[in-house]
Amino acid sequence: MANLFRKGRGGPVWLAMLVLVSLGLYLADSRLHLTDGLRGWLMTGLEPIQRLVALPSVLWRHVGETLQTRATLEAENARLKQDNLLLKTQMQTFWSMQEENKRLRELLKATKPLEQDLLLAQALPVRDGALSRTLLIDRGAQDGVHIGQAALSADGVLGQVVHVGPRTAEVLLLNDGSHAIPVRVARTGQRAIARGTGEADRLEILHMPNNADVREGDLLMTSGMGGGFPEGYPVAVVTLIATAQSGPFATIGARPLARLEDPREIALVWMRSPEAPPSTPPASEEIHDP
Amino acid sequence: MTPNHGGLVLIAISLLAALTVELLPLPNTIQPWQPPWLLLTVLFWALHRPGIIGMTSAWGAGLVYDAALGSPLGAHALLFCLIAALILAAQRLLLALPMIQQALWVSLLVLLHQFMALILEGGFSHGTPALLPHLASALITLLAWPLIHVLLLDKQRRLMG
Repeated sequence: MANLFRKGRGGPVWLAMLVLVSLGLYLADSRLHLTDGLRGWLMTGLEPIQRLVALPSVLWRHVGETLQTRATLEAENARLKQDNLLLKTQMQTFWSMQEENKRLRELLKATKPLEQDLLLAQALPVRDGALSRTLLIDRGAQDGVHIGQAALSADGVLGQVVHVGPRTAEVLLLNDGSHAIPVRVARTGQRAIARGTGEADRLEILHMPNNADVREGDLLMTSGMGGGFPEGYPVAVVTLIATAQSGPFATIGARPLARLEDPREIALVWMRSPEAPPSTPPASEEIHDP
Repeated sequence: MTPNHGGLVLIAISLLAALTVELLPLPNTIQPWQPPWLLLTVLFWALHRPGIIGMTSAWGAGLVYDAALGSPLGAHALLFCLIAALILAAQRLLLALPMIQQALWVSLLVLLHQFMALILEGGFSHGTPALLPHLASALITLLAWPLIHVLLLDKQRRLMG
């Protein structure tokens, strides 16, 4: 008991002060977002530990790649060549369509669409919080990453950046309970919000009326509303529809398209108006969409 | 009780090692059975070297833990320093208890920590969360607490007398 009732540092007054400081920090961080500097500073200190912890799985992946047999490599090579050919032929029509689209928009005097820059990042496999579903990536403020930025994978949208350190950043995944993303049904154009549930493979679609035209298997894409995410990227597929007996909205479940647990490559997106110069520091591996 | 150089190095290394082990990515099925190494190491030092690791250091460790897990800054800092304060208040009693009872009390504190962390991280905002994983980490503490003593107690006595 002697320690708790000692005067000065270590005493009850000191404890009360620490409690107050923690509560202040907690509010400043979770509600007001004032502590980005402090968090960045802490993330700098944590970076060596996180890289060390991620090392075994990164090494394991490398070993797996090195030890592949010639046959598997040849098969993969053939598959990639085929994919490449397919994509190239598709791209040919894409360029002409994009040119046409631009011309038509100019004729209509419509506003120009936002242009996008991409930066590739890799995941650092590190444990995340028990409740939050996040992903640590190896790019940070030094690469121009900022809070709220959209993160994509080859299959679809992954989530958005929530914390930024100098050389690392944390992406909140689609299926986190506190993540929501504006979507539209690709077939009908109906707009809605897809919110994470905390479960690995399920999103819930909010505010969709009972009589809305949605079917199982419908593709949900980003709608670009709110400006956080670029428009037109695939998000999820509708898997479950239950019309509510009471209440105006249907219960709709969807499965995220991106492999949220183990994405190999992550692309970070910058959006800029077409006249503005690229806002990010040009890096060698950065890809500019024309 | 004057802290010497070797003792401080031992404390620093043990805390860093605890944090590193705790951040190791594990499959989702095993993850709940990962003992809260950092908290346990902080509590070990608070129990045996309260002059060096007290509430303030526990608070700092909690803050680093917050940044590592991406939880709101201050959440685990608050819990770590509160639990360290409880340990300090009951220090004489705990040191006099046999190891099994000590481990029981510490795992109760870990359970308390888990539930308060659940509240602070907003676990109850979407219905009742799964409570089993949190019980698992309190149960595994029963094994981890003696293990920490095996790893640190002798070295601690040798370096700090």
